[in-house]
Amino acid sequence: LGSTNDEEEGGAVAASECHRGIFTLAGTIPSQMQWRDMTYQPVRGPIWTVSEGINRSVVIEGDTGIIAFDTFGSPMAAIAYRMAVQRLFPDKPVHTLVYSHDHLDHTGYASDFAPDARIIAHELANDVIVARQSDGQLSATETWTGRQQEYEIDGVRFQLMYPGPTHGTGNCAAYFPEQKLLFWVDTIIPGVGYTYLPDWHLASYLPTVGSLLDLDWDVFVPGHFWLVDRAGYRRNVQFYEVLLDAAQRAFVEGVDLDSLPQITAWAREKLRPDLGTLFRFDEYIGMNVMRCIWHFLQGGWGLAGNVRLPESGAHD
Amino acid sequence: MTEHRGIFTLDDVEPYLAEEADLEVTELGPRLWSATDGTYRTIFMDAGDGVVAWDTFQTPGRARSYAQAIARTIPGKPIKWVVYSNDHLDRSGFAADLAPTAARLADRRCAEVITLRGADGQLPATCIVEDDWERVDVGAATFEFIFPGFTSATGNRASYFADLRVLYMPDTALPNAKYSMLPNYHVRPYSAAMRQLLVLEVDTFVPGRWGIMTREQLVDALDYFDAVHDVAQQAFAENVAVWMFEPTEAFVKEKLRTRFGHLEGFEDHVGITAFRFTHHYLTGGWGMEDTATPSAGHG
Repeated sequence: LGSTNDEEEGGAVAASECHRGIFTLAGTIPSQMQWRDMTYQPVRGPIWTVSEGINRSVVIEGDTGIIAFDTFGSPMAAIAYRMAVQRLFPDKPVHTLVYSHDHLDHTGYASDFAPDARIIAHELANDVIVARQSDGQLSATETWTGRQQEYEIDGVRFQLMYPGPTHGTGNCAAYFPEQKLLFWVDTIIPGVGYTYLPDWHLASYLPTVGSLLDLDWDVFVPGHFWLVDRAGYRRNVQFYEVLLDAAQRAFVEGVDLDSLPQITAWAREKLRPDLGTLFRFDEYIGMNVMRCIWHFLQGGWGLAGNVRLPESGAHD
Repeated sequence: MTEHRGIFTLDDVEPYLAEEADLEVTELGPRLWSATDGTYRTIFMDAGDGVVAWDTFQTPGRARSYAQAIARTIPGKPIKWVVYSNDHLDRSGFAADLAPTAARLADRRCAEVITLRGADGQLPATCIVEDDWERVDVGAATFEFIFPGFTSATGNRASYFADLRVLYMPDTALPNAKYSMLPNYHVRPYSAAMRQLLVLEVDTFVPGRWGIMTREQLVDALDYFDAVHDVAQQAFAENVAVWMFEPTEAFVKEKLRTRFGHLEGFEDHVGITAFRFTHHYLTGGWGMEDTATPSAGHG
């Protein structure tokens, strides 16, 4: 009987037509090869945003080339992203790629997007990326540590900020003080939370996201869906406050804590008056509540899920 | 609030925390019993001059009920040791109510998380177990305390009683399909780690929830986990919209109902369990524990 379950290097991945992420199925993976049309629009100064309607990222025009964030979530999406950037800036190569965090749906396919770029990631994210051994996800060429790092690359100034555990591992915001713009993936997203809040770290989430309201910005680019202002950001923070309270009340209101159908019915009834108009309310509010129920039932998950930060103060 | 609150922040939850129950106790063999409130389950053992209690149940009220059940079964002997199977509050959260002066034994990874969490009522471990396979002797009780690899929670260990051919490991395999969203399961290493335990001579597997299982039921449970995993991966690969619950649920039910539809909870749970697996492939796994080399994180 061994005591570790580390896999043999490269053992799970077979050769195929495209990078496979961590899929272990033999043969073609159709979802990895699905074409994604990208749209792009200028935001401020040299900063553009690119989206296929669900995921979103930013690219910045430097003096000689492009600084891009993330890769989108499949090989074909990464290729579509690359082609969109080439169309916008035909004479400027992507020389720098910045990873927001470790997840494959955002940073899984640098091999298809910009395989020769300098890649910057927080050390916490990169440690997971290296350990994951995912096909197509390149590890960083340089990492940073701590809570904040300033960069000036090809005439573009920005700060990478790791304010604490929020979602994924080593998830960083990018702050552009001259443009008063904040980009942060899988934290603030318009509407209710995504599905069952996958890999969210709820113990530290609210004070951490709240802390970035202390920065001087007025446009926020999320990793999904549309841009918001400070009021939109605050509304999303308040949603999580309501959600966490509701999950606790479920414990004393006779809800079967194991049953997603029961939790969903209860959550829709109780929360519809205050939250019912939010994007994806009916779709995900039950799963959102269920995830928070497990948080209170079990405690946070792992070391990242149990970091405790002081509550942030009132903002604005 | 007078009850230990774990990490709850609302006082309104006190009735939930305080509620006690009459636990059902089943003898597993000489000096070893299992206790359940109908949902959660654990074990305790007569160690001669005291009792070893595994885990604490999920609330202060249930922890007191557990102490009462132990006192009824083994009268006159104090709980001198509490073994933490893992860090979760619904497993090991309320030693302050069960046996505040007992020695508390835990895996090193589990102990680290408990200390960091600082939950009200969850007492830090006093005896840290370093080796992944350690024979433990407390009083007249002997068992193997085994970390087979990353399965769920942090530092989750099995307790093996070789002479009785009994294995206890919570938050891993279940006798039904009630896995919900696989809360804090480490999807990638789970199956290989659990299947390592099958080399042990086991007739009885005691899960952390629901009924006591046979070895055959344990094997079936691991097969069910792998089957849902495989079909969920197939759903994602075949372009079932990964962000939509209903199509994912319909896909896995169609594929798995014939073989596993008899399992209690299948209709309510298989969809959300599969949804957890599809997002494993979307995101790549959660944290270091859910990578190809999970031991790189905790050593």
